Amino acid sequence: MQLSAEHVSLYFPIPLGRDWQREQHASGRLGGRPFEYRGRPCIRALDDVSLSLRQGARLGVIGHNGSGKSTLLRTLAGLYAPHQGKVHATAPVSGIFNMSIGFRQEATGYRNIVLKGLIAGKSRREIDAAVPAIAEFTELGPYLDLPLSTYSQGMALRLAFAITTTFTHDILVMDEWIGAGDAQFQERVVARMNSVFEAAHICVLASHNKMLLQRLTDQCLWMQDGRVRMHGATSEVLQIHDEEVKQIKRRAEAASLPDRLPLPDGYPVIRVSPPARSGSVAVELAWELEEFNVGRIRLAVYNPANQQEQLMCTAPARGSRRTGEWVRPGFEFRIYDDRDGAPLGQVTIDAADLAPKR
Amino acid sequence: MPTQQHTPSSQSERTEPMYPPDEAARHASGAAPLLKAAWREWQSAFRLRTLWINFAIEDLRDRYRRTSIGLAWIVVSFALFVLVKVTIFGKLSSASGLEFGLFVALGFAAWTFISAMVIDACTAYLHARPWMLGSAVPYPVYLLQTVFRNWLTFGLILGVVVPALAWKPTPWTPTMLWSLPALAAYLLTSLWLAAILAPLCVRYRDLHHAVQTFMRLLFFATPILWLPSMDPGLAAIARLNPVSHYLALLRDPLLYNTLPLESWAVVVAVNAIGLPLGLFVYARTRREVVFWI
Repeated sequence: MQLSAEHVSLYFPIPLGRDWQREQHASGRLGGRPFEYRGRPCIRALDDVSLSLRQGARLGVIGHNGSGKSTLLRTLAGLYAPHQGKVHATAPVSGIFNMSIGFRQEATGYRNIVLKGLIAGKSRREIDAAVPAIAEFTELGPYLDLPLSTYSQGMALRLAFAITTTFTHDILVMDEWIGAGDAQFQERVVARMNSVFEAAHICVLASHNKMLLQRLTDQCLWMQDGRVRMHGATSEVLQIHDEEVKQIKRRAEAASLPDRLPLPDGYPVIRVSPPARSGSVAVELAWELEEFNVGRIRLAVYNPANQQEQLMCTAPARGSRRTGEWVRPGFEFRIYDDRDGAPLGQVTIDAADLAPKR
Repeated sequence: MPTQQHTPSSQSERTEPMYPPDEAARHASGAAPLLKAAWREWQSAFRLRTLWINFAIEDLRDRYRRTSIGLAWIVVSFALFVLVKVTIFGKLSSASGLEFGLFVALGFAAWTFISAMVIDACTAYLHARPWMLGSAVPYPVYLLQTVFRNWLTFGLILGVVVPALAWKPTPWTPTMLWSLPALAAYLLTSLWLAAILAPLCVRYRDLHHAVQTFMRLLFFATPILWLPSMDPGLAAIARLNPVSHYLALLRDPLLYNTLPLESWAVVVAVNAIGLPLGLFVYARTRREVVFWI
């Protein structure tokens, strides 16, 4: 059994004018890159995506909104025909794409089970046989006799999940909404998914829920702007993805701050005071740099004995820190701006600063 | 997916592909492979009849849910329309009251179906949007769902009109059986019409409204409330209007025991053009529709 994509590209036609295209491109990171395909403005939803999954594969798909996760899943399931490249599946692919999709709001829960089963290609006999198990899993009880429009989001989610995992085929693709629902249901989802995974021979799961991906998948595909950014072991991909997300966040925070103001000459960047009570604390350092548009600082200590500088911590622009008894006269404390590493000031400790020993 | 396995169906334990081997459909280029792939999709859609039959029934249920007389509304509103129209327009007609009544009932029954079918064909794909984005069901299922739903309604109305023929002034003859092939022609036309209008209305959203407006106007240009024999000008309009030929196909054998050869020629010609056109439009738009919807 195999599910593979070879150099798959998929373009969404934009039903609007070209001005929109230009403006949209200038702003935001969401979605693909606009271009012209056969004379029509298009978005590159998938761009040269290749992957090959063998029997037993459990693939997670991550990426920010609009990176092409859902499009990839739909293409793998055969709902979209790629404009370039090929998708090849040696068995039927079933998918869960959107929980509100594929329910008839006016029909009862039971009736929806039947309709969904028919869509999945099951016979009435098979569907009728599956109904008790679905009813049991959803815990919806008498609600199954009520129209779906009376259901809450969470109830509909339970039903959708139970139905699709019951009528599943050999290859299963699932979109991100699967991470929704309350904590207790999440546990049931994971348990159910593990048993589904045993039945489904290939599974692809797109999610923003890292815990879920870690528990359910062994390999991971990172989508970015319709391209494969990285494909590897789940833990590895998630770690690199996490780091990058954090880095971007930090950079964005720094960029949102206005430029740093010059510090006046002789400004006491670090104030040193003996601790209020004598004890194990040798000295207390304090700094206040917010008014100069400093976001975070790095605090380091320089030891003239071995001529080495050591980073102590990063901290907010206003703060204080007590140091241990390891401080000796002649030690130098230095403060840098965490944004660009520029030195802001330093102070050298002399004997008078240190609290008298008992 | 060339080697899909079929889940056994309840009627017979066949092992046919549930969905078409759409590897070809997805990657086909050029006219011949596209048409071939389209044809296979229609075949597998016909096999999925439980699905579109249930969808169509569900559509009707939705429409009349929580009403106390339910589907009877179709018959009631039809009967009231005919009654009022016969009462008012009968005064303007030279024909006998009974004959004119049946003329209006038969004509309006056929018109109700044709008009609803044409307008519904426009939204066959639009209404199936959630399903199209959620499952790989072959698209003809949605077209067949629309066609079948309209035939269910048509069947109800015919169930009222046909017994009314008991009062017809002319004798019952075998010629009346020509109304059966007429229904077959209706069926054929509704299939290719849905295949053409559904994708085009997704691509060009104005078309749906244009068709609705056009059908409203066409009602007056169709001999339902008036007889072509009343005026030579009206007769000319009726001859130019293909819908009036469709009406004649059904009405003439039932009411007058005559076989409208000219109308049959027109309808056969329209189908001869429409059928290949429907297949072509279906094949040509099959892969694009999902991006437009």
